[in-house]
Amino acid sequence: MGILLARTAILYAIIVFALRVMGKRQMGELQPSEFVVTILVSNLATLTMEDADIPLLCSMVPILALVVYEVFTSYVSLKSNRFRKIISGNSCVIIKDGVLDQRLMRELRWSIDDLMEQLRICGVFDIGEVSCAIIETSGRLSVYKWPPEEECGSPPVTVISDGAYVPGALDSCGVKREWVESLLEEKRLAPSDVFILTLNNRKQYYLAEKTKAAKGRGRGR
Amino acid sequence: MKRLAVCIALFAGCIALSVFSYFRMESMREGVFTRVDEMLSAIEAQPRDQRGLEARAEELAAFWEKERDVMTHIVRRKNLDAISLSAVKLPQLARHGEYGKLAAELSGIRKLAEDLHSGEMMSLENIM
Repeated sequence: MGILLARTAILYAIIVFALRVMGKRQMGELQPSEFVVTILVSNLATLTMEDADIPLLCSMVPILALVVYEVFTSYVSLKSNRFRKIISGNSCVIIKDGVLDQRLMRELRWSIDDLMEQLRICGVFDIGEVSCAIIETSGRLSVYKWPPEEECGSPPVTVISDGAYVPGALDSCGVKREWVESLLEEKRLAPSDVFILTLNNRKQYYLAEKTKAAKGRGRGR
Repeated sequence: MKRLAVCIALFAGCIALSVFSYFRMESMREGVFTRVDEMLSAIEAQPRDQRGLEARAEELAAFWEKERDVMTHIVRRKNLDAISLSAVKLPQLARHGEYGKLAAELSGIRKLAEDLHSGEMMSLENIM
């Protein structure tokens, strides 16, 4: 019994260490790969906690290897959009301008009950209040309600992400590239200097420059 | 970057452990095979050197006990127990002149050590 107690303490310390190395993301919303890794880590730890016949290293090495693979995958996802899309997939717009995309719901195997449940979890009890709803890569639903009449604008769209234009974003918010370029010129920035630029159809923007010091260079209307 | 550095260090540690366990297995296999083959040759030799056989049996049992202490960190204990059970019988079998059983136990040890070794090797068969 003492052996199992000691092994449990060691594995507990290793799991806490593993979760710390993997980062805070494990505590919040999980991507599919992160979810799988979390379950695997707990199952691997259980094996040696239950059975003193199995060497401790037979749990420790796979757990630490999973942590390493997870961190490497996150790191590569950060550097490569394409890799990120392969691993995490894309978020899907299930309601756009108040119109429900039923074809997408069928593809995602979401019933109307699933959608209504998710809306209620987001505090929305009337689907008519929803201007835009997006199913994130973690499976959660994000909701943007119709704004009050005086502020009518579309939900903001990310136009530049990490120095590169997002394909199709300018078309979806109906803003020309020349306008964006003139905005950047005004601020003496190149697209590669921009960490994030969001825009809506009323040209209301949020821009953050790609430096350590300046976060949120400015909001503009 | 710090996290990445920690991960690289962890991965290097895992690789080092894998390499260590590979070489340890090789050394165990080498040691067991050499001693078993020597004993089997000594059993077949005429005239038989009983004292020599006893000494070799003690030596093999002691060698296995030492190897076992390290092996318990790498492989499941029940796989090692089978070899330990046979190894502990050898000195008594040699002392009492039970050469047939001694040869059988030695062959069993050889086979178990071979299986243990091949089961831990980095091959597609083992991975699948």
